[in-house]
Amino acid sequence: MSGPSVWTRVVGDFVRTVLRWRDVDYRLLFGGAIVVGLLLLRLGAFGLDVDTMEIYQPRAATSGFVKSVTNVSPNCRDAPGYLLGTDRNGRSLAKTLVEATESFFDPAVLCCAIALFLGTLLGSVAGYFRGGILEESIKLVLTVVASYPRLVLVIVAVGIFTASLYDPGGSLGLRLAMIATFLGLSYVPVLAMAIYQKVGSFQREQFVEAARAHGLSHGRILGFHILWANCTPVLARHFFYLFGYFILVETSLSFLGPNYGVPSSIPSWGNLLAGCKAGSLLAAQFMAPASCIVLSILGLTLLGDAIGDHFERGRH
Amino acid sequence: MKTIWLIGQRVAYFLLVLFLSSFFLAGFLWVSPGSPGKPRELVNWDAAAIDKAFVCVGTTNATCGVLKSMPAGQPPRVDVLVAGELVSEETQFVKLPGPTFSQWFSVDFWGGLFRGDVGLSRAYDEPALQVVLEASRHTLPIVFGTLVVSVALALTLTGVLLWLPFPSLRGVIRTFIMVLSITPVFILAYVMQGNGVLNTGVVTPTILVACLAALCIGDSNLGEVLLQFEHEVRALGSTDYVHAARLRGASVFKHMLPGLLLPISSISAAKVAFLLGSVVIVEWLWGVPGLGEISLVAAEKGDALLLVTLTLLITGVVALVALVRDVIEILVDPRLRQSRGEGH
Repeated sequence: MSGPSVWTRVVGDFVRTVLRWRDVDYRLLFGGAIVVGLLLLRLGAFGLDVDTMEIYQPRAATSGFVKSVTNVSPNCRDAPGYLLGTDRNGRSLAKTLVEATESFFDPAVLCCAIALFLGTLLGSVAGYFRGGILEESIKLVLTVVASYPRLVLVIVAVGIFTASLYDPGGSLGLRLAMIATFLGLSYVPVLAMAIYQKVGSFQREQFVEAARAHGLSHGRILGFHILWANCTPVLARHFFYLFGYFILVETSLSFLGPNYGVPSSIPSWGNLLAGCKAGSLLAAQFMAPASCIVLSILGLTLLGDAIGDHFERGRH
Repeated sequence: MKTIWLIGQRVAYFLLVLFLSSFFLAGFLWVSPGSPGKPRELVNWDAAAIDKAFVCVGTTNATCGVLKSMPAGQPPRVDVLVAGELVSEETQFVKLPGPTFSQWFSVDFWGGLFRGDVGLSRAYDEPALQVVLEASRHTLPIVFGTLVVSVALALTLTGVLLWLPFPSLRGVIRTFIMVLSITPVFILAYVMQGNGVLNTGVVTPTILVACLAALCIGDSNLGEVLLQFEHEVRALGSTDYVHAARLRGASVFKHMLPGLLLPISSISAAKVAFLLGSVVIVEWLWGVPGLGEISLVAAEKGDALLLVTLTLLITGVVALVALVRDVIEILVDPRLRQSRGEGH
């Protein structure tokens, strides 16, 4: 009796490979795809400039149907030759969706950097040097900061500064940086408490005791052996959560109006949504920005969850 | 006695958090461009009238400006009086020094809070405390109503999900709720507006229900609460005492309820701060004159006093809910009481 033929083995391997995909965590795949998509959109935005975009203008006509079209505002409509139609300024909606990633991508990275730096610093110090006034003071400060609702804090901070500016619309970079800073600061308690608990749980681990016995400094034990080697998944998880949360806040503020978020002359997924109020809910002018917002937040949240489930559990 | 001592500690902590949160915010406003400590112009030209004292500072009218009419061709003159004595006839460059930080924060603001009058809101031209309390009558029912509905809905859905015998169906329902719930509040509100729930300028029951529904579902509220409850109920269901109760034919629900009080209070405390932020959007969209809307107006007009007052109220509510959670924790969990008691 001879063994299974080559084709049988190939088919068997293929079937096994397909079946193995059932074990794949789709949250990781979906979240990863969203992150890659956002990166590509951001790269694509480098080649676009909102000021030089072509503005759709319907043909001038004197009679009939075309005349009735020209009497309607060219904004937010299915213009021929424009993918997804136009936004309220008459620009290609597809291009403005890509360009709009500029409004949140860089500030979101800044926001995450602030939260990760301060949250890690405060959480690790409080978790490592337990039982003293330092721990209690840090926890008190974190409790105080956590008692401010994040969105209210951002609105108050941004509003009070932009109210004093001569040209609020002209200082978009400053405003986005302020949104990023205050959102990052308001997220610090969440991240710091997660790191605090994680670092605290490693306090009596054998590798920490061994590192102490070898005379390693507190900085090296905390920075390398605990944070770098064991807390990176926590940081990655919170990075993706916060990135998604920043998109939510930025789009919400831009939706609220030019005094709080991005002015309507500059595209943002939030103000693109707000700008086309007359359209149907199934029209591309609503569905496209809304889908971008929901899918991005969903993907980033699921990716954070998946990272937490796969890399954090069983570590201690 | 030990319980009272522990609760007293938590109340003191609550007051400390409340004071520090207002202190930090006041400090931030103090260094902001619209600082209340900046020197003020003596002349309020909007309120000026000939021969009328239009600026008086201090309870005894220590400093006053009086606008005097002059012969034709000459601009009107302003006499500045300090304690009734003429000190200057020109106010073009005269500015009243603003209060110091300690004076503004302790005497004007906190002292005013105890007196029930912190001063006039610049944005509304009414007492700031009255504006905030009036607005909170709209906002707090929406927020706490949302909290109650979210918890009730999440508990019901948890029961349904645990009862369902098909794991794949459970997964589908959970995923659907998660995707629906991750939708931002403003998109949900926009969809509702597209379906006819419009801002009419009047707070109608329909608008309140719409606010509640958008807040209950959106911004991951329902999804997060559901996942946390499901996790807690599963963990509780696998404990020994619940197994024992089940085997003896006793009510499982009755045995699990005290154990569920802690997660319910913890989740509620965490959600209140979040909802108080999200409520800004629905109030703005539907024109509900609540805390969210006045925070937008106050921020836009740079009204520092109103901002501090309303933020103090909001942080007070958040800290109060956290205090209630701590008290429930102390009362429900005897082990916690014991360990905390031993620490002191």
